[in-house]
Amino acid sequence: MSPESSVDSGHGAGRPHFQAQLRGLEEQTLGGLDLVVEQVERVAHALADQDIGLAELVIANDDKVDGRYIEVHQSLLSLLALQAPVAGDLRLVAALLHVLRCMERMGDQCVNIAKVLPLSGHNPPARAEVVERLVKMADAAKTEVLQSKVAFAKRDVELAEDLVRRDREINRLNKEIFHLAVEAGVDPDTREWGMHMILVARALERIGDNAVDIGEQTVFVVTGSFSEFSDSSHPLGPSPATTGLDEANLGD
Amino acid sequence: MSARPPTTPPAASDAPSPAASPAAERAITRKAPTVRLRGLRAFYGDRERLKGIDLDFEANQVTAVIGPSGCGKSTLIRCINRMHEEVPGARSEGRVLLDDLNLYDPAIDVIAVRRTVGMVFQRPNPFPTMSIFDNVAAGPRLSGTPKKQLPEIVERALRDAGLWDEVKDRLRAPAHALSGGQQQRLCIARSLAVDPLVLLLDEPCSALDPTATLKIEDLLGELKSRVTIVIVTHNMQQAARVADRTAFLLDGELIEVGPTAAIFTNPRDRRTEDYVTGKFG
Amino acid sequence: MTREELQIRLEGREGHLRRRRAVNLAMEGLSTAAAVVAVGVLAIVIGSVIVKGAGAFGPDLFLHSEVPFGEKGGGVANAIVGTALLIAMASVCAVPIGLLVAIYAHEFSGGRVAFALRFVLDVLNGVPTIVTGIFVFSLLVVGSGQTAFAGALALAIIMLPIVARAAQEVLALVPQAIREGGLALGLSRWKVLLRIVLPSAAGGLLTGALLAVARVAGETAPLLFTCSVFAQGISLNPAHAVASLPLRIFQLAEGNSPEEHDEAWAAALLLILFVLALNLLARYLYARTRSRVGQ
Repeated sequence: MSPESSVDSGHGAGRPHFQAQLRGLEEQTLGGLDLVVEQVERVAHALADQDIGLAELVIANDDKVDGRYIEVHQSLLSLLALQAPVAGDLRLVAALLHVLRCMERMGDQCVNIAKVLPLSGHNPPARAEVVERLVKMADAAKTEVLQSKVAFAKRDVELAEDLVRRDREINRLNKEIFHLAVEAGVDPDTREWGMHMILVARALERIGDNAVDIGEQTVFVVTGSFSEFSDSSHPLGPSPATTGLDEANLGD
Repeated sequence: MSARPPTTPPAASDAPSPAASPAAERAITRKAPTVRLRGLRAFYGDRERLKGIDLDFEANQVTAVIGPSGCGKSTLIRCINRMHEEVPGARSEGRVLLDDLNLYDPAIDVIAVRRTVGMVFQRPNPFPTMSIFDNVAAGPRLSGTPKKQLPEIVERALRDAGLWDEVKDRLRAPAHALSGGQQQRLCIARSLAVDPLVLLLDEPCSALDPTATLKIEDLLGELKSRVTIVIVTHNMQQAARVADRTAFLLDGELIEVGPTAAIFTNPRDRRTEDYVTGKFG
Repeated sequence: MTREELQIRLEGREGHLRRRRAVNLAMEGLSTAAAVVAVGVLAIVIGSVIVKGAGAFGPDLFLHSEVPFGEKGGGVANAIVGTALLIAMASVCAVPIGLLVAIYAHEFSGGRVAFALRFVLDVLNGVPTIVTGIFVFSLLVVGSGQTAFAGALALAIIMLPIVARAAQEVLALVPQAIREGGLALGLSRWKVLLRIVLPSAAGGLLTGALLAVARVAGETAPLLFTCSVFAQGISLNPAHAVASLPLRIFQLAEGNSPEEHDEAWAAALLLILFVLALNLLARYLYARTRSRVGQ
């Protein structure tokens, strides 16, 4: 008798119940990403139309995202404790926990954007060129999140790595908005509006970074190595600090 | 352990590595030999049970051998201490090397091999008519060790097996009065009394309750400072807890071997992955 | 399932229960009766021997030997000594050989040899003892005369399969794991056998020996031709025939006087008590061996 449920009692395709549970939790996690995509869409429309009502809806809906996070997180912990997954299953559980956190953060960023919008009042001194770029950023962010979800679901490493390329687009737009906002105008109202828009742009950029994170998790699930696609010290490519769970690196 | 340069920069703190890492801070008190299998094949009559195994068991480490029932794990370790040939009709080919000495060399005495490579079996098998003391002393006594050395040998072996405190006041009690877990530790002490350099354990905890199992696992962690240990186990969690390296056997072939953490987080072979995740057993 | 359905299921069908109970009772009754009969038969036999033999059962029986024809008194002291001598000599032959046969069959050969040996021993066990007696007669007695040697040899031949089979049985009871444990310690096969396996089996081996002795203590036929013409006094000379209890009982029973008949019953009682005691001792030792080895 062993202290834990014996893993090797399966006949044929073993542990069907456990595999079904794991698949279900993955679906729920990726479904959470769908919720985030919806939130980003709403935020994009709210930006374009200065729709305060829609902004309030986004804030209220974040409860759904948080709820999804708590529920799936708890289930994953239970699965970890009760089923003792190893190898590929273990990497999947670890990745899902990470993806859940990204999901929750992205939801929070949407809320941050939604909170900023009403501050400018109903007739903000909006500059069209800034708003236009913000909407483009929001669309790009939405596409990135969707792509990260598909890459994870399909375990597609190439698609995941492609997220870096898309993210550069968002980063470029972020810089442009920054410069435009800084030169926006002289009166206090316009300048205040400009600062708010910089905050919005930053929130969208963070959403993009989280999507790239999800891409990194995809690669981890497939290969077992974890490499940062890009970080602040190496903006152009993969970081040399690649830690992998393979033989060469293990053992002290 | 081996002098490999760390790939991650050393942490600033000098706290010891987490206890979860079996390869952690265990000083080697005696350098044990490495056991190497080269082209090992084993037969029962015409049936080929092991189909050519090349495998190293690193010195002073615990290596687990896992695999589904019938894959040949027990046959494999029985070839190491040459118990396999005791079965009528059984034979083997290939080499089993201790450092660089082939145990199957005709000049080597099989009795001496078994004193150097000890074995603990699945079900505790203390000698029934003997007391605790006599059981532990059986090996040395029947091999000609002078009688006055026996008490010291017995005490040391029982201490090494973590059983001394529990039995020191009743050494003359019959062995079968002990609990299952204690009996198994008694068998470990018995094997240790002849001072082996390698210890083979064939599913030693499968007949024991969880507490006894954990005690024995801790014991192995300490013993490896003096002895090279090979443990066959059905229980993958046990392999994960206790072994520095793990080898996966399937149908008489070695599929994969590597650090235990790697086998259980990122195995290279698809079959290993399927086995450890329970897709077949 | 409703309560009624459950009840119907559990109560069973009408009449079945009653019939089953009746059948159970009948079977119990029959088997009990059979047991009573078996025990009863033994009780009657022993009972009548006790009743008939108690009279002459006294110290005289043990201390005196045959007296010359016509004299009063006397006992079976010479027969007791003679039986003891015959059993001792037979055991010295049969027990070691039987043990070694069992060791060979179990430890050093394959399953088929063991099976064949078991078969041969069973056949030997079934040979009528008179045939064994005649065989030894033709071998040792013809031309040279009866001796205790010859009688002991005949008894030894009868004892051999009993000892060997019991020894085989007991050796098989010792778990293979014990042998493996010994071998894995780096002990040679002989050491494992002598110092670990045999001590475990010692109780059972003794049992086998005792059962064999109990069997031959009362054998008459094998001694008929080999050791039946004996002198009246106590003799320990194996080169001559010695007295034995079964044959003395035979002689006394054929005698004319009631005193001789009484003496015969008393000697029979003595023999039965001896055999009974041996059987009980053997059984007790066997139980002890099983509990120690069969862990």
